[in-house]
Amino acid sequence: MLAFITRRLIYMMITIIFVSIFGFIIINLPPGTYLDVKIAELQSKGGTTSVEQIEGLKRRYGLDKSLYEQYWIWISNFVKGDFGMSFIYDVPVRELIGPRLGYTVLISLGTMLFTWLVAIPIGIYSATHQYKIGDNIFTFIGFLGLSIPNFLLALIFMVIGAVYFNQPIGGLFSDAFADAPMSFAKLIDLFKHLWIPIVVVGTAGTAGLIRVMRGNLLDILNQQYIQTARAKGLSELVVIYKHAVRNALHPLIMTLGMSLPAIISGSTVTAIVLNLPTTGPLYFRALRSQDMFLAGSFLMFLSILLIIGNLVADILLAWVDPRIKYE
Amino acid sequence: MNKNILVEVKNLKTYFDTDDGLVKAVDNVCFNVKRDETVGFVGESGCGKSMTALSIMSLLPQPRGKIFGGTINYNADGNVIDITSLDPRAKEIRSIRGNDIAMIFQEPMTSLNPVYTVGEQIMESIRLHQKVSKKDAREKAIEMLKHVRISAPEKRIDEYPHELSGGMRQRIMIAIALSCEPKLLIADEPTTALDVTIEAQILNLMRELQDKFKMSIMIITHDLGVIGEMTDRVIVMYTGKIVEEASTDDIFYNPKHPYTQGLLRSIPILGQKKRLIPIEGSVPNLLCLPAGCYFAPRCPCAKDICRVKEPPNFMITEEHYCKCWLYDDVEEVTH
Repeated sequence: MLAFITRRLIYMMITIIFVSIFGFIIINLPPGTYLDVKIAELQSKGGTTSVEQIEGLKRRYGLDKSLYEQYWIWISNFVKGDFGMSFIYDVPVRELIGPRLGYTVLISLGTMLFTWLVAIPIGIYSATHQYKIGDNIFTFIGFLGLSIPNFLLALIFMVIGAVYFNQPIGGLFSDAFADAPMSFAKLIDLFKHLWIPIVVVGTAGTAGLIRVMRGNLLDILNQQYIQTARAKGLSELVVIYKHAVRNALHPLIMTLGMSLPAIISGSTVTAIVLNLPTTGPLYFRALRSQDMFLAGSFLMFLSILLIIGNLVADILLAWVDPRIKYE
Repeated sequence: MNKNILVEVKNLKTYFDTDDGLVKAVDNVCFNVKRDETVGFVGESGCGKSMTALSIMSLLPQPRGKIFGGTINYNADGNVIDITSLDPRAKEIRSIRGNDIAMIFQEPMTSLNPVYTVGEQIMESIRLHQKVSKKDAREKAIEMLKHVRISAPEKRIDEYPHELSGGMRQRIMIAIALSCEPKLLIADEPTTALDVTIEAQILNLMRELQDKFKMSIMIITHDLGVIGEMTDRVIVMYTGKIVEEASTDDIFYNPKHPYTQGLLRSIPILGQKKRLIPIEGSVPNLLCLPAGCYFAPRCPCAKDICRVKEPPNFMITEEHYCKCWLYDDVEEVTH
């Protein structure tokens, strides 16, 4: 197992190197650079831009060097923890992402927890009560949750919350607390805001996961070894939870590996609608305006998380199912 | 109830409620299993032999399968329990299932849970029915592995099913089934999925363990070779009904029912270069059964009455019954 993890880590390094190269190229692929955007901006403000000024800007952002050099400077600094400057915000990428990351992780992990806690029990219930009224109701709600776009649900929640329950709209804090230092009251205020994005982002995932859990468990419940377990005289509860559920968890663990990057990039649209201080909208903006280092840093984080997520999923799978061996 | 009789099945009706109508998988079946004997159930796929077994285990496929009538009396040393009267999920039947009546299945490759070691799966059964410590259960499990002739049991006990061959897995299944020393072992095609050399080993093992553990065996198969090797008595089933019941010798050397005769004609005999004679036609759909005797449309000796009226059971001898109009000159019996 240790050898497997070591080897996987080496592969991961190689993958990351390739991702950084291709990512960098792709970000630079659209015509023009951030500089063109900047110049256009200056011109629209009525200012004139001299050749010297442009050259100055180029030097400042390192755009006068060749693409190879730019890449090398970026990646060698990246390894040291210096992610470069953001063009749009004119601050180090690190300072830009840092404070947003905490809330993003909070919302994303909250969503994941919500999704799993809701989806797994409902999935189990649905599978063990197939085609009964409860299963049909959950299936209906599930498809509804799956098909309603998140941003629409966010808007509906905001309207209902504001009109009927006098709930705060959007953001993570009320105005009174926005700039206040962390306190118990602020924490309460945070939780008051937090449930909306968690439920909004969680519904689609929950609905999908219910279907996966239900389908799998139904499949497993038809296996011969479930009949064997029943033939031993075990109670139905033990048969389902000890013998069936553990075998039905595989695809869920695989989704876990995939959903790690979603911690950063997920729910972007919802975050924009709900005005959440998370990283999603930032990434989106960076890509749109060719903010090279900001976008590149995001891309790197996403790839690293995806790879780590898959490694964790593989290790978990081996732990759940002894048939899976990594040699 | 005669104390020599372990299980007495009377007028058992196990039906399936399907979208196309009620399927009578087991239709008015009566038989006994005596203590320490081996009874074979033979018949084509879908004749109701497995469903008869699952009715006794009270493990019918849910929610469609249901016992509509009849009784299954289990004679637990003088204390007679009607299994059909118990809730299939409640405690009473669960204390019988796996403890007094155990079952092994056709597919050893999929009969064991892949995520638990074989030891855990044997011990689970032991600890469920007997109040023993984990350590004692483990010792008992190792002892069971020795009984089923698994080499290096101390090592094998911690292995997972996928590390074992099909024959080994069936041995493990037998070890689980016998770990609580049941009075009745139901074996549903236990060797169908195994190759012939392994089949012989497993059958030998079952016979040997039957002597050791003093139990009755109900063996379900469509292989007459297995019947000949294992059983004392044979019950032949066709479309949910028992058509003939006799000692194994009588079934092979003096078969009465045209269906049994047909089955015997369709097995090859070593050294004979005769062509095999199959039974004409195919098993009727259980949803649209013919009038009269269900076998009549395929029967070479069918008379007019066969197509009109269902034959009763005729007693050929004390221990030989046949459900066929050809024997209407002998005494008719109700069961």
